[in-house]
Amino acid sequence: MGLLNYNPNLLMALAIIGTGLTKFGELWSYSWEDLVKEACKEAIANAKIEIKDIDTSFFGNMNLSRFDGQDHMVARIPEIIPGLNRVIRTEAACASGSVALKLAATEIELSSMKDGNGVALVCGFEKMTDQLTGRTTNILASASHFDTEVMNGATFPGLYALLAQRYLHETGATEEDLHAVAIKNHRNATLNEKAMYQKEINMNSFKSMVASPLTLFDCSPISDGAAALILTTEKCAKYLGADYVKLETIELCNSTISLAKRQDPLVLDSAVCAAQTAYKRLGITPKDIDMIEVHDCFTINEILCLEAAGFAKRGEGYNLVRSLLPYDTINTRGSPVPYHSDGRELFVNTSGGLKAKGHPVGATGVAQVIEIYQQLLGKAGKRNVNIKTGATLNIGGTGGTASFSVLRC
Amino acid sequence: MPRPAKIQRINHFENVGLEGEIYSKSKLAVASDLFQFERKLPYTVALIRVKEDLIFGIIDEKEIEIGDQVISKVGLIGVNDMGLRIYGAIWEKKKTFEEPIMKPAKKKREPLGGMVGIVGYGTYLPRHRLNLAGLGEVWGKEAAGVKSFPGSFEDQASYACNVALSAVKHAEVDGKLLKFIEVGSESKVYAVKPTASIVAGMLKANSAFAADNEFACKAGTQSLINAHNFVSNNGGFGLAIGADSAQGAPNDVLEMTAGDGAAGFVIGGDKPIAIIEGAVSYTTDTADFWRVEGEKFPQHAGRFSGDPSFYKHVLGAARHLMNKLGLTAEAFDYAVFHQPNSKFPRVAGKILGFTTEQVEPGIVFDWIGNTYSANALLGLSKVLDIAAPYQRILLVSYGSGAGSDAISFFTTPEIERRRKDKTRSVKSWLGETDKQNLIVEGYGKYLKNKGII
Repeated sequence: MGLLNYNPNLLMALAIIGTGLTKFGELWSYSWEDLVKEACKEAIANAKIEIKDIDTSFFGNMNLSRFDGQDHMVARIPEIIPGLNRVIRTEAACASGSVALKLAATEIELSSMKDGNGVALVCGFEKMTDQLTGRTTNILASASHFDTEVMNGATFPGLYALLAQRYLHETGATEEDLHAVAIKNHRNATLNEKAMYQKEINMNSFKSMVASPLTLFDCSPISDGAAALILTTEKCAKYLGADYVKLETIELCNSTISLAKRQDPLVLDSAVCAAQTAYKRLGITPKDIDMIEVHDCFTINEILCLEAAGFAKRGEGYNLVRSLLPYDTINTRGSPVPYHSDGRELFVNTSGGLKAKGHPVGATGVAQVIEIYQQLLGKAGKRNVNIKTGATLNIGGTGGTASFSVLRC
Repeated sequence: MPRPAKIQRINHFENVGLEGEIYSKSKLAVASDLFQFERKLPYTVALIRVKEDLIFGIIDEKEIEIGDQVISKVGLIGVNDMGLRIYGAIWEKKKTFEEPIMKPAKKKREPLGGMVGIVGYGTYLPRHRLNLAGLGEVWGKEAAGVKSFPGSFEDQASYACNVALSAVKHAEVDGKLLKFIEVGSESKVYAVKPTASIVAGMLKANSAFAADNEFACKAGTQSLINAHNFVSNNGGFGLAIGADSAQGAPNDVLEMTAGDGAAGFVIGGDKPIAIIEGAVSYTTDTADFWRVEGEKFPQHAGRFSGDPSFYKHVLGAARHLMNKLGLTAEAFDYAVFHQPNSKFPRVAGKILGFTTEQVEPGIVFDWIGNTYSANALLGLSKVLDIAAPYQRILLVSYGSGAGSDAISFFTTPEIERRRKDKTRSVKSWLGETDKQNLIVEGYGKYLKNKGII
């Protein structure tokens, strides 16, 4: 009955009209509630709407129950922000935030086909630093196959290290190429006051080994943080007179959770699927994208993500990193530091990426979109780069889930 | 059919006995606390290509290199013996014993006030040193350096008695005349019966007000402030001791640092060698480290020990005292901080604006580990060993739970005269000047003497 009332001809473009972002870092004095409150209130104020205008709120969070002991999180939200009383929580490990955004996008699209004008709040958050490292490693590892991987001693750095080791073995890439990714992202983060680390690193920083060949500085940090945005239709955005960015599409794809079950572990097939679906839908190619925020939870993954998104062929992504050569001068360049490919500049992780901005897992997918939003509207301050089209690639687990979104002004 | 318990399925591969090729491998230096994988570090995980399939598992790294053929080496992990072959990290022992830089005394300086101060002091460290590399081998950790641990017949009470005797001797005071004895410790031999009573009994100081106190690692400076207050009000001499045989559970990070030692100070107004100019405390309810009544070992909240705990209180107390006395970092010749590890005191000094020359002379951690209640007091003693007259010393302790005491000392010409009668310096106890006195032993002897096995 319901679906018959929907008219696909009315389908409207989606618009992000406001965002809120807390500082990322080891925030001892913030509870997860403080983080959520700060990000959501900022997004609502920024969009110049009121809480009662929001139809449904979508919260992306990986593991509040084990980080903080709280299940049934959705019912805590009306206590934190009175008036938000239709709340949905999504979980897909590090892609939890993106899944929340995808659900919100679907809801707004459906509302537009009913000639309505839905408004959704999307918030991703994680409070990770209240646990000891061993426990946190254990919680994060549960994003991989519990029976065959976690139970046999797998950790997240360990699984990505297996990919890195194989990548170095098969291709001409070296450990220095991996380190260069982190140096570049740290350099970019020096201009981002929300970033966890606003300091430069160099080749001498990569000493203490976490999982060979990944050292501590090849790994993203354990962080606290929250990111929120307000999603509605373009028509509604115009009506409100808001500065907005169009969310052209957001695509989700899944693959096997175990590395061992992949046809070719070095190809993030879920990311390939999500990116290709998006390109096909919009009729664009990677060449049309000026900037992308990718999931550099470990340095190897920035390279794998760029390959999966079509910016390089399998096993050749490290050549993009090599466009930064010589690596010892990265910190002396103007930032953000772009890669060079096919005679053009490609900006990757201008925010500092997960590596330097921080990686509160539930917040990451939303925070990536916020970086593109700010860049498109010229609100990124010193890190502004002139772009027309931006994209994000958010990965859950070792590639079990991938989300690819494209944004334009 | 009931599923077998998960623990029994660890690495229970169907493919055992087949030939496989390593697809990729990684040696893990950080693991999850699930089933105490942390205790097996470092270990190697791999993806193994067996015919068309990939299998994930833990492997014996010694056997393989990438691309090599491996025969049924995967999954040989039983239920009882997990079969992980652990290779301990091999560490080069590197320790530079730097000579502290003597600063020329600044003449014509006056103390900001006060008459009462340290009249004499004594220190004690057991001769035994645990080679941390040995501990690292057992637990598969990266470890280097040494820390102190007790001899067969030593404990916290014997340390306290030893420092009492040498402090009284150095102060040239008759122990019987002491009016106040307080021992700060978190490793008392008796849960109920003060160590101070044992010290008082040994010195025959029967009219002394004797008590123990506990505030994690700052109990020693607490005794010092209490003795100073008592003597300021009542006259006579008091004795303040910090003594600990610090506890750390096997394989806990604390085990790498918890050391043994003691320092004692006779406080009085008659010819002090260092006057106490002022003291402040800073206390909050912060659960960074604690030991529940009846438990043998303390617990701690990991990274929480840094910013919200150590730095917040140490910096808070130090700034409070410097503001109160109207002093900047340059007004001090030495700054001694509590030393839970090698890094914290140095970083705290840097933040407060102290130079390396001001901070390094008070460092004792690198030779003996964290001796808890005695830690900051041993650092102070090491500085008093070399300080010239008319110099100012800042002492900041830290006790988990949490609080800090900051005390400012000003040396008098007595310090040089009294030094001649001193039999043993802190540097000597540390083994810096007479290394032959040290007995470096392995983990087994340590566990035995600590009463853990």
